[in-house]
Parts: sequence; C-alpha cells; structure tokens
Amino acid sequence: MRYEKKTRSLNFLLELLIVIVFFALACLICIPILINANSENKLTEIKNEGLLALQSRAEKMKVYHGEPLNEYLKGCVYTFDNQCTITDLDNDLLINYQIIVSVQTNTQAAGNLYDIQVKLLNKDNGSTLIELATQAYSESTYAQ
Amino acid sequence: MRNKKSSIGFGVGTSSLLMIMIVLCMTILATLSYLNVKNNTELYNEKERMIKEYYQADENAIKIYANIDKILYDSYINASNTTYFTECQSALSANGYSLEADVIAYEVIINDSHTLMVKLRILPYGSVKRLAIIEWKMIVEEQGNYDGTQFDT
Repeated sequence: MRYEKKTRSLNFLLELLIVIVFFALACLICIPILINANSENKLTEIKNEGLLALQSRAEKMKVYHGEPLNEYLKGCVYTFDNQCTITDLDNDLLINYQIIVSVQTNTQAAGNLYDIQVKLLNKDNGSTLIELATQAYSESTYAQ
Repeated sequence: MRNKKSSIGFGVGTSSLLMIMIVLCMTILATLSYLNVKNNTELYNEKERMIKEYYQADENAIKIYANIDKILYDSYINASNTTYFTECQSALSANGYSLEADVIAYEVIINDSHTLMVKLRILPYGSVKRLAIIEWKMIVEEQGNYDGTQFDT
C-alpha cells in the first residue's frame, strides 16, 4: 500500500516535470512571436499614420507657388533655404518622428517647376521611414 | 464510515490536460497575432506602393503640363491675337500632342490597372493663364477580383 502510494507520487512528479518542460518550450516559441507581432503591428500603425501625414503635406505642396515654406506649411521651421522641418505632428504615435520638406526650384521662362520631397524621419537615429516625391508647377504671366 | 473520504484532488493526468489546453490557446493566439500582423503589413505595403505609383505618375503629368505650357508661352510670343490658336495647334502637334478643338488630352500610366487622365483647355489669347485644367483624374481600367490575390481598387 505504501509502495503504491510512493509510485503514484513519483509518476505525478515526473508528469509535472514533463508538463513544465513542455510549457517552457511552448512559451519559448510563442512569446517571441507575440512580442514580434506587437512591435511589427506598432510599426505598421506608425507607418500608416506617417503616410497619412506625408500625403497631407504632399497634397498641400502640389499647389505651392514659391512662398516661404515656414509661412506656407503649418508648424514648419527652416533648417536650410530650401528645406524645412515639422517636428510637432499632433499625433501620439508619431511623437518620435519628424517631417522634412525639401523644395528644388527649376526656373523656366514659362514658369517655375518645383521638385518636392517629403520625408518621415526618426528623430533619434535620423533614419527615413517613408519618402514621397511630387512636383508643383507655377506658371508665370506673359512678359510684357 | 469515518475512513471513507471523498478524493477530489489533482490526480495524475490533470496537469497534462491543463498544459495541453494552455499550450493550444497560446499557439492559437500567437498564430492569430502573426497572421493579423502579416495581413496589416501586406495591406500597408500595397497602399504605400499604390500611393508612390500615383505620385510618380502625377509628377510625370505635371512635367507634361509644364512642357505644354512652355510651348504655349513660346507660341504666344511669336503670334498675334488672330494667329495664336493656329500657332499653338501647329506647335503642339509638332511636339506630339493631340488637340481636339481647344482641348489637349493625355494619359499617364500609373500601373497595370490605373491610368491618370488629364484634359487641359487652351485659354484665349491675352488671358492671365495659358491653360485651364478640365480633368485630372485616376481611371481604374480593371477591377480587382477581391479574392485577395489582386485587390487593386
């Protein structure tokens, strides 16, 4: 009777050990997947919001006619003559990101053609997350 | 009577069953999260690709617009009120643009299933601007099949 009870306890202990080992293995596989999924999801969300913010600025820049960038775009601060930075993006997800708008002007007789680049950059490491390029054209009036 | 005890306890096999249940739930949760993220990323990539292609086509359309405007500007300098339109017509057709009455139409391909359609009207001699945009729109030539392999709209 006593021997039987001892064997049962040993079996139970063995089973418990095997269960713990399997559970640890399962955790070792599943938890990194969950963590990766979470970080990937966050990055996709950031990219989605960033793309919307970039698109909004790019659409505004499509009707650009050579005005000073800091007056033309809300929250824009000059970094160079043809480049400005928007740091306050009014979005909690984009708190670590900034938008850089750069304009290259090609002057022609009939008007000005502006090459515009809008970039979403990480403030910490300066890496570009998304980049959009567009153009704007402003025709000149006839030379009298 | 006193020795008869009810034996409700954590017997052999219970822990295995519990572990199987928990591991199964965990695996399902991890798989669902992974699939969700994969779908979200694919959807985002598709959206980004489409937007970039549209902006690329829009850029080309603006370049063509600027080129047409330059042709009209040169025509204006060489022409008078009466000869302006014929001068524009000959200059535009010499540069390969088709003209119907006073409307110039051109298309820029965005991708296999989308095209950017632009229609411009030549404004009369002496106007402040030379061109007016009548149409600047994206045309879907082929609908997606909605089974997830070609969701292009």
